[in-house]
Amino acid sequence: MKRKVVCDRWKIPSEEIRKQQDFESILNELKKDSNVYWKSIGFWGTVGTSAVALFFLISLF
Amino acid sequence: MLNQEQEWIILAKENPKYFAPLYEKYHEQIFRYVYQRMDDKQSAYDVTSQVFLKALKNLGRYEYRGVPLASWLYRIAKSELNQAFRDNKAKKTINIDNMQVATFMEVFEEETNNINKKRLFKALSELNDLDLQLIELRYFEDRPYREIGEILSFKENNAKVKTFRALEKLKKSFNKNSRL
Repeated sequence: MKRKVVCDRWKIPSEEIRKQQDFESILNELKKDSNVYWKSIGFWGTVGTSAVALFFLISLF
Repeated sequence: MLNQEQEWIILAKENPKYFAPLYEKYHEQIFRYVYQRMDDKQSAYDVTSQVFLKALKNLGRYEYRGVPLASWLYRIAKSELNQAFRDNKAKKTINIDNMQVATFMEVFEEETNNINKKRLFKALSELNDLDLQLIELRYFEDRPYREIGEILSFKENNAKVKTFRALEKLKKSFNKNSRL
């Protein structure tokens, strides 16, 4: 991969970095992600088990 | 200090809002680690946010077993950075200042001038990813070998040996560029 070399770049002051802190938005993102049930292992576990059970039921009858 | 940190981690595993003091403590250093390797400030802030989001998602799996939280966060930052480079969201950048250039010239027993500076930049850009990471962590960020080992998943001694070899490679590449 090509890399760019930068010499003596202006150092961002700590104050400016602190101003960019936004823990609330990270918490909101986290909540959004945990609400997406279909992406969870629990969802796919249930779907998988049901599919296998259904397959056996259909093959038995 | 670590005990206080562990307490916060235990609480945050129950409720992510208790991660706030750890976020405040580590935000700047993680941002600087990311921005050191990127050219765009806004992308660096975005990647930093992704690091903390991923940390919160995986906090349940984190256990303090000799690897402090800071090193664990750096590992996540390393992987998020690579993802950003793969997605072409950021350009890989090597940031160096004149003091660091002078340090390398001292190690290489060379004079600090514009020609040697160009030779050094070329040599740095030719290093492979791992060697560059070792050089950045040790010589640009002044980190102890123990911490370098924790970030790159090596033993401390191994980190020392690999860093020494990376420096040798850099020197070799620098000397190869003598006709610049």
